[in-house]
Amino acid sequence: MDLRLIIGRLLLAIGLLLIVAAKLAPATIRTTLYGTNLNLAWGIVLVACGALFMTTARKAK
Amino acid sequence: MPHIELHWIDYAILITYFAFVLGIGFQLRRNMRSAEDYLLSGRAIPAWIAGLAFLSANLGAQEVMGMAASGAKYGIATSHFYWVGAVPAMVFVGVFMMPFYYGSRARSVPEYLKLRFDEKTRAFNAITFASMTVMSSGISLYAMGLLLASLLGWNFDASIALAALVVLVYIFLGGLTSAIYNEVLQFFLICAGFFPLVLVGLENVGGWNGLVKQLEAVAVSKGYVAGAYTHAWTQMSSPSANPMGIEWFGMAMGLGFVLSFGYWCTDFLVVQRAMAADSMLAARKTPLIAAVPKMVFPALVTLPGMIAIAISSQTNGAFQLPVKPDGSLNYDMTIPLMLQTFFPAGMLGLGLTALMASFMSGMAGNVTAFNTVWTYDIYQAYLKPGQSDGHYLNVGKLATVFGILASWGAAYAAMKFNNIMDLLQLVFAFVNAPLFATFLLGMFWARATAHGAFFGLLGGTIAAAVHHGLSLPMGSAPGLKGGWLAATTVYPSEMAQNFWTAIWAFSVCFGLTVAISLVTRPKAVEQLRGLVYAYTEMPKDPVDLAWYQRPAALGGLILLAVTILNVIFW
Repeated sequence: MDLRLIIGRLLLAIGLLLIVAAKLAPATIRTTLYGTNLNLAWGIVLVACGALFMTTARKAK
Repeated sequence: MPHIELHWIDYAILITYFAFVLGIGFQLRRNMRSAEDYLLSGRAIPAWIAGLAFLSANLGAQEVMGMAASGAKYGIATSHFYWVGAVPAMVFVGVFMMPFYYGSRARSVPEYLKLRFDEKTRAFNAITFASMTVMSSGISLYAMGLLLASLLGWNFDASIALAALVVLVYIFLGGLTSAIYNEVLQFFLICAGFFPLVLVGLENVGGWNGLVKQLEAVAVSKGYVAGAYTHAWTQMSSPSANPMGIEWFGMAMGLGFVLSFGYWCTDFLVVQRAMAADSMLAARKTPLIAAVPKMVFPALVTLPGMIAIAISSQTNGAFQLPVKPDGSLNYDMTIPLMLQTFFPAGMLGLGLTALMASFMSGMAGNVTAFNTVWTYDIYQAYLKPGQSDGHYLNVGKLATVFGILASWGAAYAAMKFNNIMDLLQLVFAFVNAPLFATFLLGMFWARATAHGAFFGLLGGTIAAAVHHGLSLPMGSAPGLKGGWLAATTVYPSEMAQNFWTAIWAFSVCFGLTVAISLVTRPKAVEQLRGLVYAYTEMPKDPVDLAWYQRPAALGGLILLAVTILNVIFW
């Protein structure tokens, strides 16, 4: 069992949930980070990190 | 503090995390064929996983919330717990001590004590350590129940029952490997949950420069010089010059040497992660790998506290830490208040998941250390020696169930005795500080004898108790905080008292062990091979290993980096 795959999947899943939250939350309760929707920005970061972990695990396999 | 209202997305993140945690346990259950697989991970864990687990085993939520609380209370001096109180000791254990732990093939720290000294020293350490892990795990559970009840309005009993059940399932199925894998997940969750909190917080205070300006004003308003919250060393000349109430010698000797080395070099909870590594080289690199993120962790856990105190000084009560019944600020609520204030639904779920992961990993780390010490150092050693491996595997599993149940009981005991947490901290100082002297002499002085080690350890522990009984932190009444014999010394803070208690415990243990060893018979040289520096061939690095991957070079680089950090924030 490659732990990188599990970490990747978890980050990917949480990242996608944050992106969904960013799309569904009303604009009035959105928190911004330097003008960017925080849920959206961080969701994308986590999806990218998750994909990176999964790619590394697949390459090692 | 009003309850936080969670949205479905927050629950979805929590449930996703629980599903992964339990999934790991179910996936690993097929690999648990022997007691060694279950209790020692079959010594098959790669260095990077063992390294992150080594770091995370110490990163329970009490640590995360406590360091943020200290950041709010003492400012950047809290980083000493990392740059002085952790990293040098982690380098030392990796470069110098791991060859003995791993090379001796001991399965636990108490077992090393048996091989190096004798049964009575092992028994003393095994029993005190097993008791401490159960108490510590129970307090972790209690703190989590309390946080969820006060923050989210969840039922206390249901919260701790659910967390205990989840931890039980994944350790029961996957043993130490499952705990280690989940600790690594926890590490990434903490980074994912707290890094954006720091970014949002910094944006709110006008970046680092804005934070420094605001904290200078806070320091002046409290009667310190402007840099007291933003410089780590400049105000350490006198205890009254810094909010921590400690001077540089107490800091360097008490925290930087005795307490830090006592914890990182001898506590089986963390050492177990390195002993599970797949080779000697991996075991030596485990603490070194852990030291790299440890160096930058103040940015994740201390900085939010500093930001919180800066914001609360500017907002005229709009952002204010809750007040305890005695009228003092409840600094422990720093992280929950920051999460509540700055995170929207979604990110809030991620932040709370990170906190819950920390609580559960803290508990799991203690339970896996407990089941190993119970099975090998108490049950196999004294109750039922000579049984089959399958028998000890089953005992390990039963010890897991017992450890969880005992932790559950300890959580309720903690609820009834509100000083139990202080008591545990005290016991840690009593046990770990003298133990480091025992290990230092045991590993690096072949003349140290079994009687010297045992009575030195006992004497050091008693010295800690006596010092505690004769001293008191300023403003405290005699009792659990000290002074129960006679308050002959008053320290400016509890921390200063703890550091000096540790210094006394270490010094007495060291002196007694040397004195008694000189008049008692040492073990024969043949019995010391692989256990003592003078009679052990230090492991040679593979010739094709790059210089920066060699433990000694890596350790040197890490020490250089941590020195630079100290200078930057001097």
